[in-house]
Amino acid sequence: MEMKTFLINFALILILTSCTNTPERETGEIKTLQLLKQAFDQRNHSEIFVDSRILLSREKIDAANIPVLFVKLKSGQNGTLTPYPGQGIGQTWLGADGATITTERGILKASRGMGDDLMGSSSSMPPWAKINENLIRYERKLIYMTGNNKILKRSLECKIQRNSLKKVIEIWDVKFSVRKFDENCTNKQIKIKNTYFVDDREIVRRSSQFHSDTLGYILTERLDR
Amino acid sequence: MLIVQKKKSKFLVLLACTLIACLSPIYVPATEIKKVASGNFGLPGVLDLPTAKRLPDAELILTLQNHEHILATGVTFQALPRLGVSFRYAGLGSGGNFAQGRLIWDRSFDAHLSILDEKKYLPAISIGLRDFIGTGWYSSEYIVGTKSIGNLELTTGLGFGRLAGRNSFSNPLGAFSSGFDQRGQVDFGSGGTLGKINWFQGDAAVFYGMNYYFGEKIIVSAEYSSDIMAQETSYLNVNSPWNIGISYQLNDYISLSTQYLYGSQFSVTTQVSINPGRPPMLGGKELAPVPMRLRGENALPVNKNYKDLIEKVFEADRFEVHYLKFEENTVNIVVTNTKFRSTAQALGRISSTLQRFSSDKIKFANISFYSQDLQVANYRIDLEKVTFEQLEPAAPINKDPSIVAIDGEVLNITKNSPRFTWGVGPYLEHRIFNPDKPFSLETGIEAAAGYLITPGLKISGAVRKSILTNLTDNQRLDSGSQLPQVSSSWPLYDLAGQSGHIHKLALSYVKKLAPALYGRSHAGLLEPFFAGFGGEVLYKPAQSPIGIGVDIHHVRQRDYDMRFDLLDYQTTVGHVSLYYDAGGMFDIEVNAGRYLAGDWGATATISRKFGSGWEIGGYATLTDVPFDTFGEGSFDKALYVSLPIDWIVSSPVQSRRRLTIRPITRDGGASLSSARQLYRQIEWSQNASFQREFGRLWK
Repeated sequence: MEMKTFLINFALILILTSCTNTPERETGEIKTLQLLKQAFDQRNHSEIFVDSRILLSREKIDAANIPVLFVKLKSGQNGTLTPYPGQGIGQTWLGADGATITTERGILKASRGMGDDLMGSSSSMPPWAKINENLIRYERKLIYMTGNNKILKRSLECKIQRNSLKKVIEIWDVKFSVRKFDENCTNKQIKIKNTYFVDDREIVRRSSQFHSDTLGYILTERLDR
Repeated sequence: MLIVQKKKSKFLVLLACTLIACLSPIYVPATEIKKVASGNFGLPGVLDLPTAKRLPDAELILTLQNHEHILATGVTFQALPRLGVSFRYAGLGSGGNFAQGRLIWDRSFDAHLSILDEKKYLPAISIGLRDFIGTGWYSSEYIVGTKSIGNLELTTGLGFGRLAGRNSFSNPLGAFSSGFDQRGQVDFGSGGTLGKINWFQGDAAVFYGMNYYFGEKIIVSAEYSSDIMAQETSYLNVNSPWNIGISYQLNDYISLSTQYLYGSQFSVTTQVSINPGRPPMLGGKELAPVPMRLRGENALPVNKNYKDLIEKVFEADRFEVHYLKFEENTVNIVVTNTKFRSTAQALGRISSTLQRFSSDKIKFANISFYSQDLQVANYRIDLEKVTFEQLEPAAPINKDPSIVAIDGEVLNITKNSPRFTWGVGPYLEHRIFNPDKPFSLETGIEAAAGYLITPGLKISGAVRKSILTNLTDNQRLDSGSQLPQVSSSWPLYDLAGQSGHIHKLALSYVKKLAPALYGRSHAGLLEPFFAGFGGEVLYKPAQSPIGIGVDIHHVRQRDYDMRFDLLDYQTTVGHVSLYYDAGGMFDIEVNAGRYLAGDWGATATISRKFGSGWEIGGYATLTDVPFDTFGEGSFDKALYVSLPIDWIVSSPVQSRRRLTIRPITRDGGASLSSARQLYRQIEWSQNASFQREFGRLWK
């Protein structure tokens, strides 16, 4: 009983706020508790997000006259990204929350700021124009980071095939004529099935692509015309 | 007799070879292993009995078991892929004179070695030692096999010592050597040592157990124990050899178990399992780094260095920039990293920003890290080579890497940081393993401040006032130590320091003296128990895994109220230290020299550092003080865990917490805690840490 009272009082004291003018002294017990509380709050609110489909309209997208990428996670969390200025490796897209996604020919190459990030990838997939109704085989490498901050490479055997018929899809009130490409990648541990809808300009208008074990598949849509 | 000894020697050689083969840190991925049930002793088990399973590498389990006659807490660590160890502190019995009416508060140490993993037709096989250091309350050994059939896991084993109490028979290992036939009596002396080794000797008995897994959450367990609980019969009714239990996995970390033991006792066990390689949020959440630009062929030319942009990005990433200059083909930058615990990540952030916003002419970057007024590490980056590494990261390479740790020149710069620093907040002190009060706590307010007089020269101090404490309830004020009471008099300090005390007040000077050479000196009230003056020098080349340090101090004991008065005892202490860290699984530190009580000896520390920032280790000090003179525990030793807070909160912060479990605080081998700080200050920025966390470079 005596110990219980002590611990209650002890917890109350730790609720006091500490203060400092330098990060060098940010190692006190309170700072730790604050960080833990912050993390707990973040985790509790991770399911709460603003649906960018409410904030953005077709008119606004057209008026902006810049490429816009819409990304939706399996949790429902979504956002729009715009190209990172300058000439980079692949095309890096920057979201309002500070996360980036890098694509190459519309294919997910890497991400940052998304937690279990795809740290990088490479593939010998031929250009879109050279893919036809026949299965084409190639290799894909996906690179992740382990919990111990080591590089984890996954090599996959892939095959891709173009659907023979053109079809029309609607993205945010605009119709696009596209061809569907089905990509299947496997190794001993995982099987991945990605789908791409590519228009005549070789822009991936819509896709469902594997990101990581934690985030699963992400949906991408190019919103600009 | 000679033949018997020869046979025994052969067996020991064979055993040693097997142990070495099994202990060697071969890579066994933890993912191969499904969830392993842990017993009441923390290591893989049914309830009280062991199984032959092994925990995932680096698994850390905290166990709390409670029933009417036992309150046991334990820490279990899978130190190597095949070796698990467990430390337990238990209050045993009832009606006694110690805390909670226990008869004894006992410390014990167990080890579990996995010999063979389960195969299609073969069981897993392990051997283990229980309570092999200390008083030997649970002293026993086992050879155990476990085989799974679907969701059913069957275990049978051969127990020795305490585990050979029921239906025992002559030792089958006697076929190898008659030395196994009789179990020698162990004299543990003052405890804390292996005593006279009698492992696997004497009669043996068979035990059985089973775990049945109902999905991933529920395990039903039953066991037939060969332990007759002879030590407990004075207070415990042992009516049955059967123990049964059910455990429920509450979430990824916590499991709860309720058990009916010995046919008379309900018991509950709670276990918390964590693993440095299994953070709550894989990867962590933070802002993305600056993506690199294309350089070289096919790239648009960039002829301007965007210094303003670089500084803005660094400000957002909370780097304090002390110096930034573009010279010929190199950009030189000196920064203090105040945000990222991982040096690899900090280095990646700086590199990618410089790569993107500097002109094509700038091909290299020299990055110097400052920490607490000391230039702690230097790296040279090939900005063209790293261009494609950000999005196609590879494992570290030895030949011509794009990022190299270098012994940078000594810089004379004025830091762009506030000269006056201060902080106010609560502090926490704890004492454990006092049999009258096994866990005592104190909290209060600490006010700390420091003023940087010139680069490297600083006066700093901290005062503390206790607000809530039960450290003062300690009745064992006199340790009875035969040595100068340099450390064991802590209860007197706890008591006298209650009205407010100066925790530390010292003038210190720290400087990088030459490439790879660091120096530090300080004088004043160095730490709560000692005042004095001294210094240390550390030689640690950037590319070498080895560092060498020398420290020497003359100190005088502070008065118990920890203000300005001093006691009579004074001494000179000093050590030569060797540090080894190659960025691999283990790092080692050896300090040899003179200790506070005037004794001479050496401290060996071995720790396992993880890429996630965790560090788990232990140390032992042996000096010329005989075990009997040292007192309980025989010699100074401790285990410690250092936990990075960013691992918990999943966002970049530099804080870490360290918990040290020091079974006994005596005077032999007592060291000045402020004596060797340089290596601590630089180690997390060094090449070994960078290599260990290399995967985080471009995160």
